[in-house]
Amino acid sequence: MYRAPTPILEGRNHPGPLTAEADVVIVGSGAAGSVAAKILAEAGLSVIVLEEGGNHTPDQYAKYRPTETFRHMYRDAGTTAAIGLGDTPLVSILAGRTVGGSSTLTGGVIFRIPEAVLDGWVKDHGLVDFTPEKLEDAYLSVERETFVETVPEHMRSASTILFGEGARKLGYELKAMRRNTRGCLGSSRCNFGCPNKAKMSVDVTYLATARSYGAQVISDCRVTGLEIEGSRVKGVTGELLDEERRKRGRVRVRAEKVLVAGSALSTPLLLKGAGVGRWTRAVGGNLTLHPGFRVAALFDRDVSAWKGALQSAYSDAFEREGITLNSVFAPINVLAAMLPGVGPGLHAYTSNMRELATFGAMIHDEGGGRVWRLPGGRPVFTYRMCRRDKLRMLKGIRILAETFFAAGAKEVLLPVFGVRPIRSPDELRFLEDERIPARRFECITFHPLGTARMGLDPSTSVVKPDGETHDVEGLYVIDGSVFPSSIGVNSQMPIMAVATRLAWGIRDRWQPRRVAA
Amino acid sequence: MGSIAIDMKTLTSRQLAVARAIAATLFEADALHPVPRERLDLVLQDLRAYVARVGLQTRLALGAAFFVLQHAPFLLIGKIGRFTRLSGEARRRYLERLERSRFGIVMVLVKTLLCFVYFEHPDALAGTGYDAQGLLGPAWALGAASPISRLRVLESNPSPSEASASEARPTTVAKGA
Repeated sequence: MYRAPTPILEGRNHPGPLTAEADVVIVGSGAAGSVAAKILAEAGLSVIVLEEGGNHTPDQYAKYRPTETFRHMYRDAGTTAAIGLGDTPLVSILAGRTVGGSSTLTGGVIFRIPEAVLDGWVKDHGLVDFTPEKLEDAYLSVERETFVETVPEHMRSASTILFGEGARKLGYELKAMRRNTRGCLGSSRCNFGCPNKAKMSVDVTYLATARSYGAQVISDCRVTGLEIEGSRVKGVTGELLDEERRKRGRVRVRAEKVLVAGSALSTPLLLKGAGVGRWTRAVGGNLTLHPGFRVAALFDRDVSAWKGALQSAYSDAFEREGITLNSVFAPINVLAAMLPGVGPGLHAYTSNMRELATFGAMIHDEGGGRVWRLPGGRPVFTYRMCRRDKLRMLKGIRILAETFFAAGAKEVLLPVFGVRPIRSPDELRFLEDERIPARRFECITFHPLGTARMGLDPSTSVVKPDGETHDVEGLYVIDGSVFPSSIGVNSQMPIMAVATRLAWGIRDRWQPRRVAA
Repeated sequence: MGSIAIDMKTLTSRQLAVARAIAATLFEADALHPVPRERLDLVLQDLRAYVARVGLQTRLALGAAFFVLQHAPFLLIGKIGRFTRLSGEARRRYLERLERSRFGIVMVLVKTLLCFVYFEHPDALAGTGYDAQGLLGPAWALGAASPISRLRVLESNPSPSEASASEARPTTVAKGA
């Protein structure tokens, strides 16, 4: 029955401890958790969603400054990073910690998982239910729920248009992106919460609908343990947090099924803490990141790159080489941080922000990352970049720079620490030298995946193809952790589609038992 | 700026003094135009609030970065003495050299956080040429629970349909009393 959404219970305001019981408890309210909450609540199950982050409504985050968004809605205020091992850059990982998760903070870009990737999942991991045909219904369902639309050309920023002109001169084209937006005004700050409530993130779509079906969302609630009796999960335990993220009360939720959707960064911590998958190194391993980078360019004209959609176009012309080019922009204060110089030198750039264009790229990586759980439960993330991926980064940087020069840029700023601004394409030759230490690359990611991979073999995977863990009955992982490989495209839609399919399976297998009971 | 209580979760007063000196050097347009004191006060205030939310790993890295920044002038520019005791010119030379050195990551970490907070000041933001709705929009400025909320908004918050038309024109804001 559809009714008014249940209010979100804010842990920071809840007096004392909290105990609850439900059919299903979902850990995490991001892209995967919200999808599952809606599907299961709609099926008539009682659902409780526990979210570690705070409850920030669209009205609130529309007015946040970027640093306020960082402080309130990002994990570690946006300073989470994977430590580079060997010849590897420090990779900054941006992940949401708020009701709605990262979906409230991404550019809303929608891609399906490339067919070649799914072929690999079938051949290498036996995931025969994850073919393009079998995912089609899930894709369509997500596209319908989140209002996916193609970004029209007039929404492209001058920065993207210039880059597109350069691309054409070099023989490749930009394609229009699809995003989950409705009424986008092109304010170019999607990563800090849409100021116009135009992004159809899960907090305003799936989770709102789930609440209408009676799902109860509890924010400021960190899940720290799983209650397992014998080989069956019985619930979760955790703690309520105050505004300063300090513990203020215990939480215990008993449930028939526990669905973990805390992201590839948090999910393995919970599993490791409970001893799930202790016989395999797969828990926390195989972390892939899609290392991303952006190149900025100065033109002799007003670009005002902040006018237009943050992300509007992409190019898959270099897909075979594992490189995807994406239009990007960042708020001025974030962009300023990548500009070189001190004092007058820095001022020369920051006072000319109107003439600055940017474009980004990410690489389809092999995945040499790991989530470690320290005593006490604190995480440490490490990442080892293979030689192939480093070469891809060098190539990607060069492609972006050459394209900007072809578009008429007078100066290009590379994401390589300590490198002076480049004034001609000839100066880019140094990028052919693979001895450049990778630790000097400025690298960022929004797409951590794969730390509790799905597969048939319990010795190399954590969950079965239906999402249930090999070890514990009733315990499911439904987020990006289950991806057995990097996918090479933005991960929001793939996570939602896979979660949809897994939640449908849980629902379909559950209902007969409920009727029988 | 008011007195600062000891808080293990954020920067110490020594680290804040180094941060202030770095910000003054980093954002100085030229010797004749130092960064206004009030703007530096806001930078430190926001920086403290920001660092209180970062993870332990970053806090430790920041502590190390401030230590290196304060004590390494001799290694990079041959000047004996702490960073905060150098002349303005020597500070600038030191930071430039550090940024281009193999230890540039130290500078990047601190510069990134300082840029985050500095360019949110309305005057600093205006100095970049930024003129759109996303960061300086009326709704955003009015709603911010921070020093920036002192802005007096000269244009009303447009409805979505009006906003699309007004997106191209600059938003005008001015400081209130």
